[in-house]
Amino acid sequence: MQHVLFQALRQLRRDWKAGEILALGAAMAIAVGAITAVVGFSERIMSGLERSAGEVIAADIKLASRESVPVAIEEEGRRLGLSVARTTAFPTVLFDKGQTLLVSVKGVTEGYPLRGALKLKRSLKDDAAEERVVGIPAPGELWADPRVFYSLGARLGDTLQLGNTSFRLTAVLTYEPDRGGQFFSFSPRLMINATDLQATGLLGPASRARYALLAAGPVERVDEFKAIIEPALDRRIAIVDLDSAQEQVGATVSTARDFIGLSSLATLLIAGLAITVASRRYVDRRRRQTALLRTFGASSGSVLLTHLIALSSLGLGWGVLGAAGGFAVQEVMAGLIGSLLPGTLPAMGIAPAFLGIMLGTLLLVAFSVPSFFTLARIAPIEVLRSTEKSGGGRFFWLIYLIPIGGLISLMLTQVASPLLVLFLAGGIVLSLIVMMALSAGALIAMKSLSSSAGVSWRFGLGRLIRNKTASTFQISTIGLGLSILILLSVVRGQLFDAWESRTPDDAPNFFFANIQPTEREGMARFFREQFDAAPAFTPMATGRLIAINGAIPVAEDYPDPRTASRIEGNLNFSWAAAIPPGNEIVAGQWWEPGSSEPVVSLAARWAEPLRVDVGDTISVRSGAQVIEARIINIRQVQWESLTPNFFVLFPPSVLKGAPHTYLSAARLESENQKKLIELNRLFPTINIIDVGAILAQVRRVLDLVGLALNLVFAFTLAAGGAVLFSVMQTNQESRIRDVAMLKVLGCDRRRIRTALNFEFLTIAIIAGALAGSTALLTGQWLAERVFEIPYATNYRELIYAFPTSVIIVWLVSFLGVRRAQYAPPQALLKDVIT
Amino acid sequence: MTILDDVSLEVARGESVAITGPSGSGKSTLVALLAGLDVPTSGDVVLEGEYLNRLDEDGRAQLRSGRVGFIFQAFYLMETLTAHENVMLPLEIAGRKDAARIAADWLDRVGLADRQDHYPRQLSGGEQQRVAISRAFAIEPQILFADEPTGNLDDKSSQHIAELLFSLCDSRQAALILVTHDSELAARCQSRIALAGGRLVGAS
Repeated sequence: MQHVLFQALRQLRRDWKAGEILALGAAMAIAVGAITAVVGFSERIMSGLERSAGEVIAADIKLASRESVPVAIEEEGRRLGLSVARTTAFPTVLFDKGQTLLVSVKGVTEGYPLRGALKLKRSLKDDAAEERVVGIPAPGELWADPRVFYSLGARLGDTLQLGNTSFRLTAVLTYEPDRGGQFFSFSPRLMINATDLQATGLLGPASRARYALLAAGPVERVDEFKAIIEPALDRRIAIVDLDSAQEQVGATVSTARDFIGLSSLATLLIAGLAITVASRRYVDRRRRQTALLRTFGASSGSVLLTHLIALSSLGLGWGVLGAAGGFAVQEVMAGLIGSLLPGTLPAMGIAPAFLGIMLGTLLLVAFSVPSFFTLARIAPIEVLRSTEKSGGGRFFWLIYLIPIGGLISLMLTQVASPLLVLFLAGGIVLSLIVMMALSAGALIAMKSLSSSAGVSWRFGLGRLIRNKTASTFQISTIGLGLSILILLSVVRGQLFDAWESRTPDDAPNFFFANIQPTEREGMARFFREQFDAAPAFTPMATGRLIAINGAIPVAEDYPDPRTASRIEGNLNFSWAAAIPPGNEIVAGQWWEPGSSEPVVSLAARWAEPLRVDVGDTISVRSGAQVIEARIINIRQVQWESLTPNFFVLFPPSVLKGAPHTYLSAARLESENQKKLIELNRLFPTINIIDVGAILAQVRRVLDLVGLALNLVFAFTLAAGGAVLFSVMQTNQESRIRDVAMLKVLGCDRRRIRTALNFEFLTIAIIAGALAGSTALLTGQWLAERVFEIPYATNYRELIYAFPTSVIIVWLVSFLGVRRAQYAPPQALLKDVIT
Repeated sequence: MTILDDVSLEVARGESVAITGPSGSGKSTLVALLAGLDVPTSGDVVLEGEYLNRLDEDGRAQLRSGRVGFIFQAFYLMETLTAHENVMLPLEIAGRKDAARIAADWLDRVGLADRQDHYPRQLSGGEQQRVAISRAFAIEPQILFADEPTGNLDDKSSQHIAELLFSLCDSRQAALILVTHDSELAARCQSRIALAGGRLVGAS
């Protein structure tokens, strides 16, 4: 055993000195570096993002209810080490100095907000400094929205009567992280200490209070908390977490997470390809030496063990190097984006580096094992004569189940959905097989050319055709690597485009809700006079869903609490003559203009959990009116667009009589925002909602996600480079020897270059064509099914991708044999022999 | 490191010269210099009146093309080309239109007519060397360099190859420069030079 170990280490040292294992090591280091950086960085970014997005609910998880959330749940949270706080919010009307104002009172407990911070001003002056505060109003104190001061003419230090209790106004509340959650039922905020709530006497049974329990802590604790409480949770308590809190941010973050998962997967896969290729070359160069060892009496087991030890040590060495590189890269990235996130990023733990080295070594072993098993099977006779390489027996292909199994298990660590992994793994294997078949076909078709071609062509083609198996493998590996790169690059571009279009620079930053039909004209006039703008008004009515296909829906039939609450709760709907912007019909069709047919259009996100589709009917009651409408189409809605969107839309004439209000939105720059105080005076019941902060947050998330995506993609590109390098190194010796012989026989550089170009361009063109067509065929599936973004086949990108691939492959190959073109033949022959 | 020092020799058309000496004495380097496969750091190599060391790589290749033949101990056949294509290669490089016919003739002459479409890996050592000889002679060279042509072969094959080599040189009036350890083979040459430590130590 000991001699095997020494033999392995000696061999490793020799290989290291000879630069033999550069390709193998580089592939390994890139894989480990990618895992370390991507896992480490995305963990940091995601927790930063979640923290940032968590601001939207002022917590990591929120339990919302119409009744106070049981103390037992709070205790469970504390037991798990989570920070916990409670909020109670309810609307009330404030009377002061003869003025009335509809306000929303919020009582908060110590610790609120668990994520994000409140911002206050200690003076009403415009230029007063805004400060982030830790803490909540002291008992007897009241913090109020600026609009409360303007509407009531109140000043700091004044006393306000709230129910049975008087409060002293001590601060202007300018920012509350979880304010954006309920856009359309928003009134100026009054914040008090929760201990004062009971004394106001406003929390009666008819108070319409909303209670919330907030919890925050390490991700795994929060997940555990959610897992424990969810099964036993009262249906009246809704769990609101990052994914559900904010459709806008949540959807983007989860898409980004999917893309990062997929890209790191692609990086692993490409690095795996590079390792496979590099280890094949490593093995090919070890055949003689191994045969020699076998003649000395080494058993096949000890040969395998020697190589496995050498390989694992190599894995460890390059792995540590890769992990250090990965760590450095993600530190730089974290430094670059630090300013974009509130607070400091959590430090990267050592875990991703370990994970990287472990997965990298697994990758190295799994992808090298097939090649190494061929070494173990080498017969001693090979030392005497170079035989045609043996296949290794009928069932030898089974050995390839090891890397495939390894790949699938690695995929599962990166992508949560086993089905997606299955599709991807299957797709990759299938693509490789199809690519090999197609490239073999292309080479056979070219064979007829070679007999009539000149010396350069024959030389170039001959090399490819003679080593058909190696050539098809070489072409397909490059093709597969390239197709993954093209695919990711195209999908990445489309993701950016999709996100960009959803939050344009002129996206509205103010929403106006609860506009009565009688106020519409006055508000439009105000906008014309003050802002020189004509606002669009979207009608909104409230009703209830009373039947699906004629049957009364039962909340218990729907396990998803949000769906259940849609059945039990109010239903907001609207009507429109044309498809609203940001909506896309995915099934059925839009109605004819002027149609009075009782039909309805549903958002996919609403229709799917209710298990209804085009052709089904739903019945809605609004006021005294009941309408049974046939579902005529299903819409995909861009919820990130921050414009008023509705799950349920009717044709304008169908529900015309329903009692309704209007929503509107506008983009107002800061100088115009002050005029809103006047608007508020004129129309005191209109709710003015500032979504600028949310918009800024969505943008910030997008910026971060974009950076993370680019980082991951850079690693994928590096892995692609490693594949190319390994593949083109594969036949380097024989290529250099052939070049030397052509020189000996009197061939000039021009013809040698033509021959090499012919070989490289053939590889590049076939691989590029295969890669381009694979990307073309699978891009749509990936974009629409996995990322749920609209996909327009971007032929321009594909047209660019093809020549770019060809040029890169050709260039890398050509540079690899550059020396061979200039060096004297004698030196080359010596290099190749020794 | 000085590999060759103060070595001067002249070889006339049709002459055969054996270069002998122990391993590491510089035999192969001398042949490489004479053939323009490498260039000396000082001194001149003149082939057919052309100074090889004053030409660039392409110039030397052009000079070799159609005029110089090579036979190596390790054969150096192109593994991706058949026997026939290997022999065709120098003819094509020299721009000969009838390359295919000449190559087939030569393979026939060395007894490999039925192995034309075989790849080097499918041939024995002796057969590979016969392909290499056909490749060397197909262009009817004025000078032939042979570096240990029988070094990798058994006795019988060695004799066969030596016969072929000398008879072809004779009939073509080609100069032959032969590097060998084999004294019998060396004795068949018209003149012999001996190298030791990179210097000329004897000539006959």
